[in-house]
Amino acid sequence: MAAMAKRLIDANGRTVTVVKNGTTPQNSEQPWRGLADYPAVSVTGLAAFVPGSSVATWRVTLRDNIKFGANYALFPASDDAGNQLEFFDEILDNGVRWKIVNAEIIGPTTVRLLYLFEVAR
Amino acid sequence: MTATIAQARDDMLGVLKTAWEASAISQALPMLYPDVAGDPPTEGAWGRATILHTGSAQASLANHAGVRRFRRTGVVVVQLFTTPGGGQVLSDDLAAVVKNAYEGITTTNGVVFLNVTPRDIGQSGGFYQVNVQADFEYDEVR
Repeated sequence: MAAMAKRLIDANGRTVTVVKNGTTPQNSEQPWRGLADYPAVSVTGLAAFVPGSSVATWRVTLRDNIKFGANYALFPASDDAGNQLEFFDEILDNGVRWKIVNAEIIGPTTVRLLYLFEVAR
Repeated sequence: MTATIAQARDDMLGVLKTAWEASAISQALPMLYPDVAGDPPTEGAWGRATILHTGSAQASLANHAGVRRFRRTGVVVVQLFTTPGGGQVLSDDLAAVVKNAYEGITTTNGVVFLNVTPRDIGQSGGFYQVNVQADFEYDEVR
């Protein structure tokens, strides 16, 4: 099943970078002026973006009076380079910065097959 | 004493940082700043600062070179979140730290703080929230 998922994502996905933000400020006297180690950790691989209806109940959220459909990205756990991507913060997708708002690990018991990221711009 | 937007922002957040780190009550607690990557803590006490410019107006006639003084106004809001059930002890202490940081203060670049007000927001989710807000004004010459 893991091999099939990876094969489908490799065939249909696009290259993204999953990013974990750092915490060290660029200037410790002015921590509001950004972080020095952004991103702290990043993992690049192929991810398949799918509409919510493919993986879960279709959901639309209203933010600032604008309706946003949920977007999901599937990322093979075999490409996570040993990182726990459920604790990462953002997905960089060809110039688009997606915020990870929810992350699930798909797989039986403790086996990791896929990461399912719910993302929002 | 005049300030650009960037200088005023540095002054306003610098005042807060100095007071927050000087107090034994707050110095170990996270303070989040606007537009800095990172997620709010899910437990414990923490703060978040926001600066909102709300108005600008010309405040002087031009000199011989056409340079004028512009007055910028706005509000700085510091949200303080504490674990609920503490009888508002920590939230009151943190509100006092922030209130004292801004009340009656003029920064070196001329940012003046007015109407420093603690506002009890109440419990929301896993936190009890108090905001401290202060009106500010400063002049920019350009």
